[in-house]
Amino acid sequence: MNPLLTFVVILIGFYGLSTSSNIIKSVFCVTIIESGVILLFLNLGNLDGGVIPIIGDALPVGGIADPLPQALMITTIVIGSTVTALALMLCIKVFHHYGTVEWAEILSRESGK
Amino acid sequence: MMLYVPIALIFIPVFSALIIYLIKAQSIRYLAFVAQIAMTVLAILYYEAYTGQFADTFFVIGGWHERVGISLINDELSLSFVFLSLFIWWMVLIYTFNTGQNHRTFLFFLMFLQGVFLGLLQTNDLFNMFVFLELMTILVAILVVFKKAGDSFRAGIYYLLLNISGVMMFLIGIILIYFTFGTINVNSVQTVIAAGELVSGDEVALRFAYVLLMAGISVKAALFPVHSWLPKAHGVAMSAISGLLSGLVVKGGLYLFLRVNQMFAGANIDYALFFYIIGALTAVIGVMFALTQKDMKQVLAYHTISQVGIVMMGLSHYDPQTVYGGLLHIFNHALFKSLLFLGAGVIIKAYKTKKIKEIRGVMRTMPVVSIFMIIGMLSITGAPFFNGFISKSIIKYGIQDSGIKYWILFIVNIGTATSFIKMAQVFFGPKPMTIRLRSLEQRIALMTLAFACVVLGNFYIPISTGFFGVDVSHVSVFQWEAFFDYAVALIIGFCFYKLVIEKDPLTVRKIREFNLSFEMSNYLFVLYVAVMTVYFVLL
Amino acid sequence: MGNLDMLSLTAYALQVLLIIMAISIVVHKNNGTIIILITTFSLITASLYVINKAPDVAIAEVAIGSAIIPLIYVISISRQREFIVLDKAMDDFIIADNAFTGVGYVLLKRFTDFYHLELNICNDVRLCSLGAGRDQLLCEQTNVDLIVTKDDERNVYILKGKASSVLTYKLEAMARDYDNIEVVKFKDRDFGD
Repeated sequence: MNPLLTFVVILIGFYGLSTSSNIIKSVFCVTIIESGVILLFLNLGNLDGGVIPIIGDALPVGGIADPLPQALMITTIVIGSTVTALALMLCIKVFHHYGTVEWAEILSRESGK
Repeated sequence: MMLYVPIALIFIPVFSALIIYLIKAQSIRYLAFVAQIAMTVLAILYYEAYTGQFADTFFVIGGWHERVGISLINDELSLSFVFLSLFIWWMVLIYTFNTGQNHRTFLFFLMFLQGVFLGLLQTNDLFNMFVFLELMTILVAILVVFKKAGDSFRAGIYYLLLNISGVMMFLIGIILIYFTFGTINVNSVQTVIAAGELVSGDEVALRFAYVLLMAGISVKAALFPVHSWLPKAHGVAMSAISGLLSGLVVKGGLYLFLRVNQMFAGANIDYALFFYIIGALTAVIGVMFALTQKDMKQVLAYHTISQVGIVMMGLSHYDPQTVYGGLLHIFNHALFKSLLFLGAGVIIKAYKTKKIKEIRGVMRTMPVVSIFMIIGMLSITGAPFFNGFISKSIIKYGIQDSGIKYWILFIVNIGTATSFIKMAQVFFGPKPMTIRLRSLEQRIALMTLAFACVVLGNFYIPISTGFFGVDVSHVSVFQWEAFFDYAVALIIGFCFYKLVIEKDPLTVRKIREFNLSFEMSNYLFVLYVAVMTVYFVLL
Repeated sequence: MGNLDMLSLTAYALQVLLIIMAISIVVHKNNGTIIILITTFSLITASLYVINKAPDVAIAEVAIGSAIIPLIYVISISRQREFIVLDKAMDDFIIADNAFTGVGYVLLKRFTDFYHLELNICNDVRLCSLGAGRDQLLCEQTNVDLIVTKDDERNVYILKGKASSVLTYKLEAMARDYDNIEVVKFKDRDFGD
């Protein structure tokens, strides 16, 4: 049940990308998709009744939640923030060049005009 | 000792890029050449010591157990790609040797991209592939907007957002594979799938993971519904960067296509028909748009899409001969497309305009460059004695049983011939007054690429049997049918050009101004994933 | 409903709240409101990471998603409201005094108020002393949107802007009523070398 709810968040993110009218909205939707994917990974790696994967004194009875996805997801969060920063910088440059951030107006200007 | 060469191939360019960026002397640029020589020598030594055994090249970083560590592996496929990328990077380094200010920053991004790309080719771990794909997306977006002028910003943001959503799909596929098999090491997953004992719930998850991985790879390889980023990005970048992107970075997506299919080989997923249709659509749409463009670099960018479609037509078969044809077309396309882009860069810089109608008399102004450009144009249209002919003949031989496949390839060839006849107009005409340009390094780069095209076109039999072990002796340059086919394609192309394209009717103008909006391409991407899910999972 | 204890109930509630926040981010139109929604979204996902037994990922998400990301969004959205004008005319065409306001200032203020921009007039001496041939280079390399110069022979004021920007066209439409103001557009000079 839990992974399905997270999958709905990812689908809402893709829907937002398909209907966004300006560039900043698209970057917001990419952020939503990133967070949704990371939550999906951690949700599937969760173990009911397990404990947090930190080395303690004795091996716990109920099992440990999977530590590999957690390591991979920290990398993914950092990459996602880098991409957001780069996209926003390009967005500022687009605004200074075209005077607007709407997708329709930017893509319809002929090249060289 | 030889086991550590893959690590060296990844880290030497990255470290030299950092040193070039941090030290502020102008003569530090030569470090790039030193690093490149070191990498070439190491790669050649590694190939000499290569025995073909899987266990000899397998190397786990950090000494972890193979199911949880990141491992690197090399076989003939990845070694050939490594040599190709080293060669193309040499050409780009020589071409851009003295291009003025910001050169150190440019070299930083260029060498970093080389390290990341070589890492992508040699890695054996799915999450490592994801990280390298994201890094490649970021670096290519920076390189596309490097000139900071014209339409490069809108091309850069379009490219960045579309590719990031594609790579996110790739990550969801990786998640599914991890939770079905417990490992993300490509070899371990391949062994488990080939063993064949899967419960039915695992089977559905496996196919859905295949769909998601292929969706991410289709975005990076610019296949049919998600190809719209490529003409924008490659048309407005600097010419050397366009040559690098069209020649090599798009091929990274195709290399991953081969690897993922190799990984899923035991699962009996029937991908031939679907990817053949996608490849055919990509090729036809690419040629159709290429015929209507007036800007020299946009024409070449659309031709990249159509040639990638031809490669997919070859790669989507099951018999190894036709797959080898597609693979050989990847190499040939890298060589002649970068040759065409670098040559176009020289012409555009001299004439200060990009439109084909305004450039005339290149043959008299720059005779040496125009000979190399003619070699490139003959290669891409598939003339005998040049390398395009070899790979197209192998693909034609593989699909000769089916009539409609043969006719689609023929139509694409006619379209390519028409479009390059249109571009060949720049060579004729009177010499304009004020062109004066002398740059030795650019001519050396062009000459080496043209030489490689001619060599590969004539000595393909020893190269194929020696390096890959595939027998292609059924393709011969000296058959009458080869010349006849090529002459027919040229004549039909010439008539089509004179009668239709030169008059610029309303249909052509409408196609030229057709612009896929950002929302529409995202919608097409989601639709593509849905169609693939229905085809692979439910049928 | 057997094993629904407090923790999993909280998890379900937070996930439903996450879906509601995602829908509201997609539907809202004002970019400033969405920044606050993104911050809340990131905090809710960080709580969900803790419930899913991944506290290290939650720390990373709070630091990056709730502190750094909204900061760069705010910076980039505020940079998109500026309209920078370089005043090379050096006379009373553009003055914002209490006593009188120049004709140019009235026009530019009307323009920026109509399109929700922020007017920013710069008369830096170093930039103003560059010759007229460098105007296009100034527009391309820096953030300047408009350069105001005066043509003394014909007694007109020339406003130079980029042809690729829609704002120049809109300014031209608004300046048509004034006969001593002329708008010149720089064409794009890129050859993609």
